[in-house]
Amino acid sequence: MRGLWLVMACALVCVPSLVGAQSKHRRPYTGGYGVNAHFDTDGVKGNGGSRDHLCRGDSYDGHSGTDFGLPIGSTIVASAAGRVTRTNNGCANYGGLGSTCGGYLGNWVELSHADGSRTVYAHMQLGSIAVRLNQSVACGQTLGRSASSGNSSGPHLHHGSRAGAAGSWSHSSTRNMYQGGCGRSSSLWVQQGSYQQAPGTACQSQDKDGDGKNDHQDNCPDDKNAGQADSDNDGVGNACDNCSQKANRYQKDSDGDGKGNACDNCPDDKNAPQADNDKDKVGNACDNCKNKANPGQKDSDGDGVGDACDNCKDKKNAGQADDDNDKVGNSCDNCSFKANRRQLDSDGDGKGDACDTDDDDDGIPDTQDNCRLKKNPNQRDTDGDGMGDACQGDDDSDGIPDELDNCRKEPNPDQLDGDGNGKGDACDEVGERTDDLDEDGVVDAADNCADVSNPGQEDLDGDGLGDACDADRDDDGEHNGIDLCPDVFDEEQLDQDDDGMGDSCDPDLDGDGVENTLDNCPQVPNPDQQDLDQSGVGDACEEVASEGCSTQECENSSSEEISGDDEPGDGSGEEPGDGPGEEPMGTTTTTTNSTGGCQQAPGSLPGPAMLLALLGLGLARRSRAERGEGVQRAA
Amino acid sequence: MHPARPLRALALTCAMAWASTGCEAPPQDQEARTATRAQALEQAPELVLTQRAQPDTRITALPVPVREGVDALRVLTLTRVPAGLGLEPGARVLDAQWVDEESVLVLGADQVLRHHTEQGVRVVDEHVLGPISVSGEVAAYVQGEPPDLWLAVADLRGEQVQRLKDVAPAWSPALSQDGREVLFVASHEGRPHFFVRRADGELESLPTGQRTPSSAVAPLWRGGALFFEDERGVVRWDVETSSIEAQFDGARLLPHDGSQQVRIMMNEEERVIGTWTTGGER
Repeated sequence: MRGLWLVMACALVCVPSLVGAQSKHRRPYTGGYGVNAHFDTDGVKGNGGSRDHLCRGDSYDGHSGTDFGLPIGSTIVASAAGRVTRTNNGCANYGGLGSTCGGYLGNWVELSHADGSRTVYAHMQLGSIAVRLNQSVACGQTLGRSASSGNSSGPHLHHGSRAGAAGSWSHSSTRNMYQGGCGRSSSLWVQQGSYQQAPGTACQSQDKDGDGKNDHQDNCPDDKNAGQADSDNDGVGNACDNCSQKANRYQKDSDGDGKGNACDNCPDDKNAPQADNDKDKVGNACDNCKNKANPGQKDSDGDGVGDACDNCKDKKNAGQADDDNDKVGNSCDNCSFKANRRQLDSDGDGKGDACDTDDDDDGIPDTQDNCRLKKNPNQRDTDGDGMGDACQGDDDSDGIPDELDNCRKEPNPDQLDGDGNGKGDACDEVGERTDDLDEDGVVDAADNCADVSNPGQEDLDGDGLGDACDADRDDDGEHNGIDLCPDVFDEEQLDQDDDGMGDSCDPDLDGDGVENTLDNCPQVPNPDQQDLDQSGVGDACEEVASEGCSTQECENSSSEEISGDDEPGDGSGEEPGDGPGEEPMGTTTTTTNSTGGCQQAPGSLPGPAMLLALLGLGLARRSRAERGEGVQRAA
Repeated sequence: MHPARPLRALALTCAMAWASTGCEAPPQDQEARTATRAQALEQAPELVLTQRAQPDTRITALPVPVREGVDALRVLTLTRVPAGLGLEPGARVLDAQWVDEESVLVLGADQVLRHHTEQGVRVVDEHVLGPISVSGEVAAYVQGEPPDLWLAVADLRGEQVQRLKDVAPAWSPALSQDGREVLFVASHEGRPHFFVRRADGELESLPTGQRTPSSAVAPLWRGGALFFEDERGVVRWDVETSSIEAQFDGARLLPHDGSQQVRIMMNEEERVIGTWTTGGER
C-alpha cells in the first residue's frame, strides 16, 4: 500500500511531461487588445444574469467563450498547436446581432488539440481563413483575420473551448478557461494576465517524446533521451544526431539518407548502409572505383571511371569496353581484338605488334622476316643461321642483349620477373605466370581476390574468397552492405539501441555514450551512470529489475486491484467524462517475486503502461482527495 | 466603458437620416453599407415581431441593448402582446411567430420554445435558436450550441420533433407552404449551402450562389420562391432554378402576416415583392 503511494508520488515527480498533458493556450491574436466579455460561469442559461470567473459581471447570459475586442483585420492565431477540424467561410464581415450565418459564428475555424480539447475562433473576416481542413497548425500560427461576421455587435474574436473531442459544442461542454473564485482552479492559459487584459503570448512548453525535457530544451525533442547525451557537442543529442561523432549543428543531409553530410561517405547519393568495399572513405554509391581504394577519385579523362579502375585512363570510355579482355579498353587498345596487355608496338605505327603483320615495318611480313622486330629490308644473314644480321646479339630485338635478356625469344624490355625464377615473365610457362592484375604483390594464380588489391589476403570466414571480394565477409547470410555487423557472424541482427550497429559488434549496446566494458548498466541507457547504493550496478538496471518501481517500493508493495473510474483531466472545473481520463483505467496487479524484484502478474500492463496507469491513478486520487471523495479499492 | 459607443450612435443617426438631411454622405462600398445597416438593426426602435392581417395581432418588442464587440444573442423585450395567450409585456424573447389566429409560438431568451394557446402554454423544445419558421401547424428551427446547430421540425399537434443532426451547422430554415418540406442553409464543405429536406425525408443539396439567408427574420418559402434577408438586403430566389429572381439592396423583410403576400420595407416605404395563390402558384 505504502509502496504504491510511493510509486505514484514518484510517477508524478519523475514524469512531469505526462502531468502537463492538458493543452494550455496563448493569446489567440496579435496585439494587446483586452477582453470585451468573459465566459458566463453561473451555469444557468436564460436567467438574464451572468458571472465571470472572478464572480464579477463582465460577461453576459449564457456566453460560452471569451470575446476579445479586436479591430477588424487583426491577425488571429492558434492558441495552441493542433489540427484544423472544421471551418466556415462565406459570411459577410458585418453580420449584426441576430445574424444566423455560419451557425451564428460567421466565419470560423475549429481546432482539435493534443489533449482532445477543441477551440473555436469565430466572427472572422470573409475570405481571410488561412488554413485548410486537417492541416496541422503550430501554436501562434495565423488562422485568419478578425471581423464581425455572424451574430456579432461589432468586430471582435470569440474564442471558445471545450474539453472533449467527441460530441458537439453545447453549453455544458464549453468551458471557461480562466482561473478565479468562480472559475477554474488552474488556468487554461499559459499566462492568464490580469483581469480583462489580454492573456500572454507564450506557448505551452511541450514534451513530445515524454522524456521529461521540455521540447525547447530537449536536444532531441522527438526522440526519448532523458540523458541528453551529445558526444560531438553540437547541440543535437546522439539519439537524433545524423552524425553523432562529428559536430554538425544544422544536420545537413543533402541526399536524405539519414546520414548527415558530415559523416556521409556519399553526401549526395542516398546510401544509408554506407557500404565502402575498398575502404577508401568514399561509399560505393559514389565511388568511381569502388573496388580499389582511390580516396582522391582521380579521373583524368572525366568519363566517370576513376583512373584506378579505368582501362583507358586518358580516353573517355565510360562503358569500359574491352573486347579482347586484355585489361586495355578498346578505346586505347592498339590491338583491340587480340589480347596484348603490354601493348608492344615495335615499329611505333600505332598498331600493336599483336595485330601487326609486319612488326618492324620493313616490308617483310613477320612470317618471313628473319629479324621480326628490327627493320632489315635486305634480310641479310651473313652466317646463314636463319637469323638476320640485324638480330644478332638480340634475338627478340627488344633492346636487351641476349646475354642479359631473361627472355631472349620474347620481347620484354621491362624484364619483369615476378616469381624471381630468373626467367622473365614473358617467357614463363602457364604454371609459372606471375600476372598480378590488381598489383597487390600477390600473383593472380595465388590471389584470393585477383581483381581487388588486398596484399594481406584477409579471409575472415575462410571460404577462400578474400574479404576484399567477399560480399558476405562473415558468412552469416547478410550482405556486407546491410549487415549490422559485417565482420562478426551474427544471424539475428539485433540492434538494441537502433544505432545501425548490431549488438554483436556494438561497443555501446544501449547507446548511452558509455562503453559496455565501463557501463554499470550496459543494456539500459544511463549516461549519468548513477549508482546511489554504490553496488556497482547502475540504478537504471535496478529499476528495470523491479519493473518500474524502486527496490524499496517493490519490497513494500502488495497485491492490489484498483477499480478504474472516469476522472476529469485536471481535477476541477470540467464536466464529467471530459478530459484525458475519459477511458476506463486498466486493472493493474503488482506482485513481489522471490528475489525482491517486481514481477507483473499475467495479464497485467507492461512496465511503461503500468507507470502510466499508476500516474493516472495518482492524479485520480489526488483530485478525489481534493474533493473529499473516497477511493474504491479491493485487495 | 466603451468609448466607441457615442461614435457609433452618431454614425447610426447619420445612417438613418442621411436621406432627408445634410448629414455626412453614406459610405459607398458594400461592406461599409452592411456594417452601417447591421448597426441600425441592432438599435432599431420598437419592431413588429409577428403579426396577422387581423387588427390587434401585432406582437412588438424592443431590442435589449448589447455592448459593442460581443456576440450576445439578440434578445427582445415584449412591449405589446395579445391578450389571453399567457404572454406578458416585459418578457424577454428571441423570436415569436403566430401559428394560427389563436396560438403563437414564442422562443424565450432561455432558448425554450413554447406554444401559447388559449388553453395554456406547452413547451415544444429546448436549446432552440431562431428564427422560427411556421407553416400550418409545423415549426422549423435550429437547436444546439453555436456553431453546432442542427435542424429540428416540430409537429405542433402530434408533439413530435424530428431532428437532422448530421447536417451541422444549419441555420435559417423555411418551411414550404404545406409544411412538408423544409429549405435551410448549412455549412457544407466549409461554405454556406442550400439544402432541402423533402417530404419523403430525402436530403437534397441545391446549387447555391453567393447569397443565403442570415437575418433574424425567418425566410419564407412560398409559390416556388424563397424570400429571404441577408446582410445586403432582401432576395427573391427561385427554388426550382436555384437562381436569384430579384434583389432589393438595403431592404428589410417584414414579418409574414399570414396573408398571400410578401412585404418588404425599402426606403421607408412598404412594398409587396411576392404573391401567391392558396394552391401555391405565383
